[in-house]
Amino acid sequence: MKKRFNALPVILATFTISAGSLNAADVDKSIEIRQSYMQLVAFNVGIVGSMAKGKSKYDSNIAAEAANNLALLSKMNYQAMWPEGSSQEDSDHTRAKMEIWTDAEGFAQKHTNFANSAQNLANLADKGLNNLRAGMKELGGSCGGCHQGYRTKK
Amino acid sequence: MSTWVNIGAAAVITGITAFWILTDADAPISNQQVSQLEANIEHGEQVFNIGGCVSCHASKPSKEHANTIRLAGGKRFKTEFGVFIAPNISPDKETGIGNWTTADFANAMKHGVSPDNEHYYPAFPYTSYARMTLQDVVDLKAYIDTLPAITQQSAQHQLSFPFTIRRGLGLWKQLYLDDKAVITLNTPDPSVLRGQYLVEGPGHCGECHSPRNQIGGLDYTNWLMGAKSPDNSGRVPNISPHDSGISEWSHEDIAEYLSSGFTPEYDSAGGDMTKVIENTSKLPTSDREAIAAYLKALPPPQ
Repeated sequence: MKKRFNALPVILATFTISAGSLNAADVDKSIEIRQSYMQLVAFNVGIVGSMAKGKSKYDSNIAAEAANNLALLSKMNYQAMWPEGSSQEDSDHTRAKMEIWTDAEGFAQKHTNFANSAQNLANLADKGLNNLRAGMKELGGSCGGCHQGYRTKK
Repeated sequence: MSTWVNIGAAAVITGITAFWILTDADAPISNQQVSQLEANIEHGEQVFNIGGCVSCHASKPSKEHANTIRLAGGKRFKTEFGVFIAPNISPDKETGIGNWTTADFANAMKHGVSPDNEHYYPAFPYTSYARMTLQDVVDLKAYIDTLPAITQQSAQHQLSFPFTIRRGLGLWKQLYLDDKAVITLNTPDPSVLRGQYLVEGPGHCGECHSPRNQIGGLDYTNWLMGAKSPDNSGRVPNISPHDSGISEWSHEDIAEYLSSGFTPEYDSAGGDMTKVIENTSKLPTSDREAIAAYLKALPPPQ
């Protein structure tokens, strides 16, 4: 486990340099990494989401912590997780559309939207449940905005 | 022999006459009827959002007009009948609906009939809008009138024969257009009933989430149980309380989904549903709660 984790920066660096010339193992690895990343995003959204739904009690500290995690996650180097050549045309394990690379500018804009809405949520999360809900709405909009154009339907 | 020819000719003429009468496009709502209703523009905006008008009728987004609602149409819908192209419904007097009376608008929405007394294709979901109150339709018209008028000629649909014959839709409507409630709910709960109105009427959820027969009629026996997507690119999910539907989703899960697009697993909506969420996120919280209440109150399918 430890060894695998240490290998990560090396793999990411390789992706950034040699985008477009991935072997099958690189493709699988990048898909695994970004899906783990999405799990982390979902985990943190789940903490604030549960409060928004009234399933768990609103706690401003816990909400702020989760929202700050999301803001941090949104600032990660996404290009390294979505190297060119790792679309659904390259692997059966991903729903990533070619448009991620053919419309790189559009994809970058969606990523900026995500980062902005995550930061907005981080600013709002400890300011009461209604503010948290408003922030969730915007965050969800940014997630959907990207999934609509850049991920295939199930 | 000539008697048979005469009888045959008479039968053909009777047939044509019957077809002509059955397929006539009447516009039953009068100006006098709608003039008794006072329009509420603010409420019209809510109706606009639940109706999802913008999802089909908005022109291609541009940076220049990122924050305005421009209903010039142009979006193409590939179906097995051909390609439907959303028309301009902005208040432009020449190319949009700026010259329509409120009664014209109401006849289009609730009866699928144009001001020129032609049938509309049910790609325009008047089969659901038929269940709307006349007041909501009047409010909606008043709101659309406040949006920017855009001059852009609507494109012709690209359909294959025999679907090119609009009169044929008269027969189709006899079979599939009525304003009765889809589901009989024995409940006085105002939230459930409000949800029923929103889902079966203006929200027109069943138009995509219910299957259709070969000529495009909705199969109400499988209400909200999922369908193939109209462009044949995949499945529209089952949202009935069925094992393969959303029976596991709580009331709160549904309401949150309609607000932020997050599923109970905190994945997010994708595909065309993201546009729907954009609209439902703008509704009053009580309306999202009502939709959830209705979906939870549906009788489980057999």
